[in-house]
Parts: sequence; C-alpha cells; structure tokens
Amino acid sequence: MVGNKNYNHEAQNTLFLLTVISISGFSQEKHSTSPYVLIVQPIVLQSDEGTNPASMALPEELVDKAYEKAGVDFHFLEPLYYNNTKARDGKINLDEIVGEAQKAGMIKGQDDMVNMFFVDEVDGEQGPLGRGMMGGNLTFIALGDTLQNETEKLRNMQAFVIAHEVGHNLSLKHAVDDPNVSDTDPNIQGDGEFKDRIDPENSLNEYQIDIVHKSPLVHSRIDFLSKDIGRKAILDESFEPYFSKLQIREIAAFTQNKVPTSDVAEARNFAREKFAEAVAEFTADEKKCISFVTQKVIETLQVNDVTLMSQHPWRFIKIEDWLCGGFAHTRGTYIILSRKHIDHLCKGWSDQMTPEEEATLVERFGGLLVHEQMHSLQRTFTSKFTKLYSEYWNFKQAHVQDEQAIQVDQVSNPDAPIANWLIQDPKETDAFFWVRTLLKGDSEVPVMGKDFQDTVFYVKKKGASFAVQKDAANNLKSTTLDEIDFFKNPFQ
Amino acid sequence: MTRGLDHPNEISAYMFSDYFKSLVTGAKPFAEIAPEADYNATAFIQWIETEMKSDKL
Repeated sequence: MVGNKNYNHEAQNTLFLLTVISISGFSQEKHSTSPYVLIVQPIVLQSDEGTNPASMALPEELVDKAYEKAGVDFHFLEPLYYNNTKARDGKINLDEIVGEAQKAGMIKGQDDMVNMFFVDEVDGEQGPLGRGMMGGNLTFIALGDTLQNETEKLRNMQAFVIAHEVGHNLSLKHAVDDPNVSDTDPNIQGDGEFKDRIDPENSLNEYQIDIVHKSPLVHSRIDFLSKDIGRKAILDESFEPYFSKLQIREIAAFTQNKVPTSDVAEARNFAREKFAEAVAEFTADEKKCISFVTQKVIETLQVNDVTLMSQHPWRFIKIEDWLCGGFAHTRGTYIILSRKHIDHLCKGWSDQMTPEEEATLVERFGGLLVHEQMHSLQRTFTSKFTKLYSEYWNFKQAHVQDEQAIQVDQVSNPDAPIANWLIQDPKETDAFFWVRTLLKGDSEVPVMGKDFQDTVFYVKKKGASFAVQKDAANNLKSTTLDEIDFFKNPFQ
Repeated sequence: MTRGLDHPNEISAYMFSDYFKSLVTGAKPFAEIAPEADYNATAFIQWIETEMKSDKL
C-alpha cells in the first residue's frame, strides 16, 4: 500500500505559478539511441463525465536531456484518460487515487514502469507541484494554471517537474538531504533555475547516475528478463485480461497438460502456475544473437524513420518449448520466445557472417521480431491501431454477447485476447461476420495449431447490442473464411 | 499474408513484418500482392506514414 509519507513533494517556485501551460500532447521527435529506457505511462485525470482533463505536457526532449549523462531515454506511452473528478481535483488523497485507479485497471506494468498521473491539485494544493513515490512506480504531477505564454520557461518547468519527481521514483533524494549531492549546484534534486537544473552539465552527478542504473524502472534498450523477473512478467494482465478469461480446454492446449480441475477459477490458477514454470534463462549466446538482430532491426527502422517502433523498448522472455506450442507471442510489453524458436532463428548467426548471410538473418529473424513488437505497440498506442482498423480497413469495433458454445472451445490469442472486431457484411448494414479461432474435436489436451480452426459467425446488430445469429434449432450460424472471400482476398 | 485473419492485430503484425522485410531488401513494399489486396496494403502504408513515423507523431 502506498503511503503519503512515501511521496516526495516539491512545491514549485511561485515565479512560474501564472505561466501558461498548454496541453502539448506527446512528442517523440528525435531518434534516440540511449542505451537505457524508462517507460512512462501517462494517466490524465478528467471529470467523471470524461471532460476537462488536467493539464498534461510531456517535453520528452528536455527530460531526456536531464538524464542524458545516465544514458536514459524516457519513453512515453500513449496517454490514458481516467474519469475521476475527485482524484483530478485533489479531493481524495493519493492512496485513495491509487486504489481506485488500480481497480479501474489504469496502472500498468509489473513495477517496472512509471505510472504518471496528471491532476489539477494534489491533496488540495494547486500546481505546479509534483509528488514522486520514493523508489516506487507512481508519480503525481499538477502543472497548474495555463494563463500566460512563456513557452521556454514553461517547458523547462514542466520538464523539471517530471525529471525531478521521476528522480524520486528512481530513489534520488533531495540534494539538501543527500550528502553525496551538492546543494549549491543546479541539480535535478537541487536548487536553481529550472533550465539549469535540467541542463546535463549538472543535472545528475556520478553518484546519482549509479543509483539510477540500479533502479528496476530503468532497462537496457534490449532487455533480457531473468527467470525470476520473467516469471512475474509473463503473468501481466495490466494492459488487458488474459489468464482471467481463459477456459479449461485452451488451458490444456497451451500447457499441454490435462487440467486437474473442472473449476474454471482453479484452472486459471493452474494456467498461471504453468506459464510461470515455463520461463527459462537466456544463454549468453542467445543474448548475443538476439541483441545483434534487434540492433539491426532498430537501425533499419531508424533509417526509415519508423520511430514509433524503433524507440519502443525490446524486452524478451524465454520459455520452454512445451508452452503454447513454442509459438512466439507477447504479453504486456514483453516478447516471449521459446527455446526451439530461438535456436531455429539463430541458426546461421556467427561473428563472421557475410553481408548476404547477415541480410538473410535480419530479414527472417527481424521479420518475426517486428511482428511481435507490433503487438506490444497495439497495447501501448491503442488509438493508433483503432484508427487503422476502423478508418482505414473498415472493421467495426463491438462487444458481441457471450455464447457458451463459443467460450468453451475458444482459443484466446495472447496477442489479440479481446475479440472485439467485426467484419461488415457488404450486403447489409446491421450484419457482420466475427472470426473466432476454436478448438476442434473433444480431446482433453488439444494440440496447438493442429486442433485449431477458424470459424466465422454471423452477427446481427439489434439496437445497441451485437449477437450471434441462430438457426431454427437454436444453433449458432457460422461459415468459413473461404466463404467470405470479399474479406479474405483483400488481405492475402 | 495468409495467416492471422482472425483479428486485425494479427493482420497488421503480419503486414508490418512484410513491410519490414522490404525495407531490409530494398524492395517496394507489397509489390507482389494480388490486385484486390492493393487497397488495404496502400492504406496500411499510408497509416505507417501518419502514425509510426517521427515527423507525423
């Protein structure tokens, strides 16, 4: 439980209390090659009705400058908007806000990324001010009034507040409380003009940099999770539900084990145990090969300006071959690779590859890595993908009423666990097709891939709800992908 | 692209993988797709330009 006493707060110099703070949105303007990444999930508080969001600004370049000497790149995910008037207005305390945000599924990660709340007031105090949890993953920022326009000073102040409060998350103390930091230099934990405090010349000293590098919030840009950390990370459901929605037959398929219970809640716990059990340690050679290919992928993406992906952290978990058929997949921001998959992909890698061999490896292995990284982006930049699916490709986003006959044989795709996209029937406005992967046959332990089949259900919209159509005998009406070639062929 | 039609998350991931391979080889993205797939592929490239490239973020 988070206690208020754990938050360090910095009431800002009144000089900037009346400066204009505009909502600048997020910006990823540069091509960063910093060796370390710190992931930030911005959470913007707004009214219960979804209006009047708190001021938010993410001056990434300036914040990165403040941490330049530590080689840390701040990577801001797409901001989330959280409807909670009392929290926005500082009418409830930080513990209560965190508790409510947790219940609402707003807090992301496994204590390995910063959740940054933008509010109007903290405990009744107006901004600009911030409170960062010492050695924790939570920060509150109130940027204050936005009435005047002093752009440079304003952005320096915004960057300072973020750099300073996240510094507390990274276990940095105020200079005045830390004998290892001079309180006469304009350090991010010291005193002085905002622009000087975030200037890399004095922003961090060597002692502070060492502390920053030890924080669990700071990761190598290409990061291999240890077995212990991976066992926790593979169970992540902070971005979307997975284990909490699994059904018994698919658990048997994924774990290649007969599920020892007919109680679905117990079966889901069994799944969690088996998934954690499957996590393995990377070997030094595996790390070398994957790092080599990933670095080449990053360079290719950077040269072609695809920065949304190149700047996204590359975080890997290794699993044993028996889990999920050894298929590569993702969870949260992690890419999960099986032992045999790594062996197969690294075949041909060596320190003495010809340029042709290298290109073949990067094309083959890199092609898989970017596929998986897309799934991580789909979770962390959701609105971009919603736009692609609905505006460019004409999918319809909808929740279809649950059907027991589908649920019992469902195969939850770990990279697309929410089956909420429908295909518009070109002949009828309120008619849609819904593609679901289901388990065939009735074996207790279905085989991954071999026992999968795609089934296309007919869905009708009635009022505001969407339901699978049924025939006279009350059976669900379905067809195959081959029968809807108007959809299939344009994606072949 | 022959797999992953069950969800647009998979479609976009497979298509991006193909797009990436063309960046590696220097080939034109989706040069060998069927004519009826041209519209979705072109739309995807437009989306990449708008949503994944730095100067458009």
